[in-house]
Amino acid sequence: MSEEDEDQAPPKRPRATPPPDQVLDNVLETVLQFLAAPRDRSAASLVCRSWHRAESATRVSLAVRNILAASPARAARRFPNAHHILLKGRPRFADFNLLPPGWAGSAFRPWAAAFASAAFPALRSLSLKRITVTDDDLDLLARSLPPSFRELSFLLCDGFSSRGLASIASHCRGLRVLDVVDCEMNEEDDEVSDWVAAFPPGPTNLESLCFECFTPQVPFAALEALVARSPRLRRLGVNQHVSLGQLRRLMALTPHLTHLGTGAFRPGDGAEDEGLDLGQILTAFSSAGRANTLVSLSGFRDLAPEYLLTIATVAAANLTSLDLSYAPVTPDQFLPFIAQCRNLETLWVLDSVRDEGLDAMASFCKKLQFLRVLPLDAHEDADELVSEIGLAAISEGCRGLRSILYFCQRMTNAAVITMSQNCPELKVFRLCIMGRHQPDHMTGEPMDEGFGAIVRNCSKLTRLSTSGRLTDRAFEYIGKYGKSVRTLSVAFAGDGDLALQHLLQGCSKLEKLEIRDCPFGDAGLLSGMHHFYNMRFVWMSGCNLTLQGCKEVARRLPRMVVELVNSQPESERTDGVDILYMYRSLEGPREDVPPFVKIL
Amino acid sequence: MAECKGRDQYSPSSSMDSSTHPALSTTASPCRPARQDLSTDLRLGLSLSTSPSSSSSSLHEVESIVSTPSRNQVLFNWPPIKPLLRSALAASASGHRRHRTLFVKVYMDGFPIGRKLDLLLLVGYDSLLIKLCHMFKTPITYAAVYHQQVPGVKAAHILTYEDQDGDWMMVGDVPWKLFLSSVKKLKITRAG
Repeated sequence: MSEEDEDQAPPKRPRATPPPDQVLDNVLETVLQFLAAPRDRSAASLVCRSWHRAESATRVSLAVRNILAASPARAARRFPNAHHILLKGRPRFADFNLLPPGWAGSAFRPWAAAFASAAFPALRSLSLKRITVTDDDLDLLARSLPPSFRELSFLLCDGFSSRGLASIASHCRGLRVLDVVDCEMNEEDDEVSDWVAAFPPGPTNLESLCFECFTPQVPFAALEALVARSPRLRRLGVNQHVSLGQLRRLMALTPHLTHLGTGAFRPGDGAEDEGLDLGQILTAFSSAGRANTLVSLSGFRDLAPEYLLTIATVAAANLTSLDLSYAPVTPDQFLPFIAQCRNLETLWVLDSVRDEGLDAMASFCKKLQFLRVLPLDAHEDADELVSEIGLAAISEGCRGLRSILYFCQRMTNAAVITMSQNCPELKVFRLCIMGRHQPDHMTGEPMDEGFGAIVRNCSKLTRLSTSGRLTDRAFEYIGKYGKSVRTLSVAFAGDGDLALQHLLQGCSKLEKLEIRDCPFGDAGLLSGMHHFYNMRFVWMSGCNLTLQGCKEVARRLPRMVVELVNSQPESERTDGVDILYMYRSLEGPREDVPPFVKIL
Repeated sequence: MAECKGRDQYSPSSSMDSSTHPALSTTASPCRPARQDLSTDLRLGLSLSTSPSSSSSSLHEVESIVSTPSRNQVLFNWPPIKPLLRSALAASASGHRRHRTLFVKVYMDGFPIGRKLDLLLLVGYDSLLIKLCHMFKTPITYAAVYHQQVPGVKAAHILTYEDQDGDWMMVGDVPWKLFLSSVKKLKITRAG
């Protein structure tokens, strides 16, 4: 922070008007309210003290992207006026079973206590990502959140159950958003709370209710009653126990639906499904479609494919977002449907659609921006369903593509180079060749040239995930050309420390680095010392780091918390580092540390 | 948790011998004890091949298993997909839900390299024949044609299958569903 301080010059004579510095503060605050982007606000706060003060007073959206980096007390002191708070916890690689459970089980507790004691009196919405939250935390929140509180969303969280949801439902009057997405909830089968029935009687303000990942069955009568008394509901995501007949009834109650998580999308055995015919489904979707409101579909957790085609003619034309990641559709089932989805911008699909399905999609969905092709059988020797043919077809058809995640068994450099040339708007390129160390299967060469072309040709690239056989040359390219790359994931690649050095010395904007199972050692790690304070975190697991190397980092960078995690808590570690996870923090090392974690 | 790696005792150098597998190499740091592979539980029933690496003689941990690029090993932390999606798709693949596959190997006489085919994607013998003719670029005959119940050209190849008793039978005599439940392998043999 600059030492310039505009408060220093005292007034030269008595004034009737307020002193210039206070006027400036008022002006500043008014102007800063229009500044929304977090990076802009951050930059503004660094100009001088009064800008810092004004920005802090007016910041309404607070994102603590590492919950361990700042304490709630500190955040509340600086940003007392926060309306929306986003908290992120575990590192992303924890999603893939790389981090033992219980790594930071009570990280949320101080925040829950802070919210309960009105540290953020204007709090309206809370978004939690990859955080362990207990039912007691939710109970505490439910009873003490301010009346302005409206929105609660959980993404990839764990630790709570239906009992916690019931607390929220019953106590948070005026709740508008309750989204539980991709969470692993602890459910005791015989003690499931009916949290849907826990909502108070009378009309609710619910605008969004998503519980697609909720594993037990929700009593349908209570759900239907809740939806019936929620006139503002626009987003509804039900779980796989809701049958097609039940869905139809729910849709009749939601005339303004924009986002729908369809549940099973298959007729069930219950009363609601008796006599269910295609015509009724069509009517349900065409009434949502006629108002052109329904733009996003997900769910399809047990898809009966014949019904997919049914809704194509009435609903597909308006769709901008389609999530089929739980629906193993074949090309025959997929083609007629996707042919109608001309406005699609986001598509998540399984590789069961094959190269021909992707080719068809590319020819119809010209507005596509965000694509994920996920593996039906996520094993490295599974049958090859999509290949470089699909990738090349996508790049030919979807020139405006911004983000792609593509799983395949094998790939060629040529297809990746083609994509880099055809899709200059790419900001996110994540290619996962499931066969580890797989080279270009046509030429036998490493995938260096392909990834090199991506960083060279896609100047807007901010996120990159690599895979396949890569030598140090690939990292030389990334370091040389990947000047806007902020997030980098590397697995099973590289020849040695030089590769890591290329990255750390070349990628000047690098903020998040995740590395697993690469032959990188201390020399590589230490080559990044100049840059680590500019980064949010570094994760290195299964590499060749030693205790000495990590200690050296900890010694020279006191504001980095350097955690060494033992991924097998049962066995004794002698030497060598299993997982290094280091992050900058204003609070120093955390206190609740499980036995398998050592903080240097 | 993570897969084990065999570590070579390797003379320190910054560049790798291109013939050595990267995962087997180490830089100047001392050889780490190879970790125990906790994904053993998931490998029940799968054939595990110890990768025939040159480093096996210098393995330090006797109990550990050289994994490196062993293609038969099932890692539960690779490839990286979200756990809920992985378990949902695995449940569907194991037949708890309706989508299933029935892959069988198909060989042709004179061709050592076989193909694989998912019979559940097909609806009957006709589609099977069409698919195989495309795959192997040759006209193929099956029982109905061969015995002239269905008019057609008698081709140079006949489609046969190995059933659960290990016998080789001509394809086409039994109803399709019954065929699906008994077929183990397919072979395209020369006629006459």
